[in-house]
Amino acid sequence: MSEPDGPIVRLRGVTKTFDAGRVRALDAVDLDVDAGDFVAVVGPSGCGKSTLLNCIAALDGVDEGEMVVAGHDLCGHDHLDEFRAHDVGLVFQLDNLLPSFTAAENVEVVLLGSVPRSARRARARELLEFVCMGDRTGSRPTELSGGERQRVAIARALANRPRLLLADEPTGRLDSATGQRVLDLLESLNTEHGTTLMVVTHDPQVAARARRTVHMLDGRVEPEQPA
Amino acid sequence: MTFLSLVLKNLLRQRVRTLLTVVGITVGIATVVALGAVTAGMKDTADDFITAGGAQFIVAQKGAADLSFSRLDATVLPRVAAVAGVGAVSGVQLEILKVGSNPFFFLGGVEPSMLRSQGLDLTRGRLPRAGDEVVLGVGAAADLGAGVGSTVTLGRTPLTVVGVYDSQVVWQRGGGFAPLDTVQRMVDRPGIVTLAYVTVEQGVDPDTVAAEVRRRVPEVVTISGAEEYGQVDQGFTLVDGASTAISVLAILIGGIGVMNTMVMAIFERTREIGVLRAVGWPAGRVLRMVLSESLVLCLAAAVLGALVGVALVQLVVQIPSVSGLVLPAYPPGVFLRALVVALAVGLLGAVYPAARATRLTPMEALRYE
Ligand SMILES: Nc1ncnc2c1ncn2[C@@H]1O[C@H](COP(=O)(O)OP(=O)(O)O)[C@@H](O)[C@H]1O
Ligand SMILES: [Mg+2]
Repeated sequence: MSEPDGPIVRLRGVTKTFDAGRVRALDAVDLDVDAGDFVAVVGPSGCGKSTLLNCIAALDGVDEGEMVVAGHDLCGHDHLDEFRAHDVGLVFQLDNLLPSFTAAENVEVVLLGSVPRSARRARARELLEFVCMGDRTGSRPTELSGGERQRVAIARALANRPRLLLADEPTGRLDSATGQRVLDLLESLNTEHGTTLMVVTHDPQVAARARRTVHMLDGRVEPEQPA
Repeated sequence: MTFLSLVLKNLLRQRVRTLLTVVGITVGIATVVALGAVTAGMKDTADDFITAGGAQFIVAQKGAADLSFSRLDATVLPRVAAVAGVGAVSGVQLEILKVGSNPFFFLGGVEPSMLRSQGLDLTRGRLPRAGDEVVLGVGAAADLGAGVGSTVTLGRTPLTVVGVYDSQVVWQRGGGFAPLDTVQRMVDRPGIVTLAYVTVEQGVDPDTVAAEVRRRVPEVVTISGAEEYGQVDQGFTLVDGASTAISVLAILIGGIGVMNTMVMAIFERTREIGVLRAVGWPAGRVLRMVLSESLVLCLAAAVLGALVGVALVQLVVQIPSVSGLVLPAYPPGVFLRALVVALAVGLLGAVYPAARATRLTPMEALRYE
């Protein structure tokens, strides 16, 4: 259903307003992201970076425009649940882990109802090992450090084996050494598994690692200088 | 992790709140079960009473507030007997006396020839033949310390105990039978009976005969089952009505309690629900989670409530004055009703929180403060 050669993300004239139109968080955004790319989204606070990511993840509807992501027409409300369940992974700025569940359960919960129990367990373990949390599968979020929690959150985002991984300031609350490790992890996904990566960041170090940087200002995407 | 373990874990996050909710619903369910058992027991007693002696139905005075107030005078029975299809009509004088510690001693005055067909299981002695003779239920005999040959005073009349019988019917166990004319004399109402057992001829439909009896003898009612008992027993109707009313109240109060718990639980977890939706949970799965939490809560309460209800009834029937009156019964319907009430409460309590949990977009839920 998706075209492997075309862009995995394709936005045309996407507009999203809040407070009955008084806040234009996204203002006629056009954006293409190629499959397998690693894109950093930068810009001042409040320019609409999180809103952009949330709309691409189909967490909210938009007011106007066209949005086709991983072959799904998100504006046509084309099975958004399935899109979220199968095609996209999301790492929040705050880890947003479920506090009463262990690291393994936080990963498994994504697969509840779509993957059999033993496979759920195996995949959670495998993913936690991948993010170097294999020895902490039974720990609850309160027993983990910020960096550890963020790594569990990445494992969770990967549970459905998404082709597109969106991360909203994944290192924003981490010290720089921990942040580096989280970034290494994300980068390896892109280089080794071909996962398309879109990372919102304030951090110039992160932007430096990306292959492409998208600049935003006041809800608009700035024209890109040819490299 | 399974869906059920997720549901249980969510419930156990607020142990005290969950426990209090379960206790609340348990009380409601226990009430439903207890009242149901008592009502079922009363129905059984009424059915036993009606079919005693192999009768298909009984006739009693129309409009009597209680069966014990019913009066049929001697001229009525021959008219009932004359109705086509009626086989035998046998008058019974029923008296409730305070004897010993039992305030509800049922004394039945029956034609000695009819006593044999009352289904009494004679364990000692014989049945009364005439005069001041009485046969006692095992309960009454034990209560009065009486045996064959002893004299018991019922009301003001001394009677000779000629036999003791066993019976599954609670009022028969705790009561006794004497010849009809003896009882009529004891209470100074010659020629008057409380009710009459009617046996229909073979091959005729009892309902048709009963209808014909009502048409030909308009001053009587016919009762062929517990459902018709309310015509001559306001108390019966009252208990039945109260039982239904309390079940409805239990659903409402329990439902509001569960709703309150579930609303709090779901509001607190709005962000978490946003996370679940964001990682691909369809709205239907969130709905199922909320509903399951509510139903698990209520089913736990249903089981507890059934146990508590049975324990409560068994405790109350230890009281002698109660044990002579009702023998609780536990047909499956009693527990089925409790289960239905619990499920109704669970569904009712989950509707609003579930609707609200799925109404928000994942983004709105995630941003919820
Ligand atoms: N749910 C919302 N309700 C109202 N305003 C919002 C909401 N979400 C975002 N905004 C506004 O939209 C603009 C863009 O926000 P956001 O995308 O979070 O910016 P960024 O992530 O770049 O800091 C801001 O002005 C913010 O206040
Ligand atoms: Mg932001």
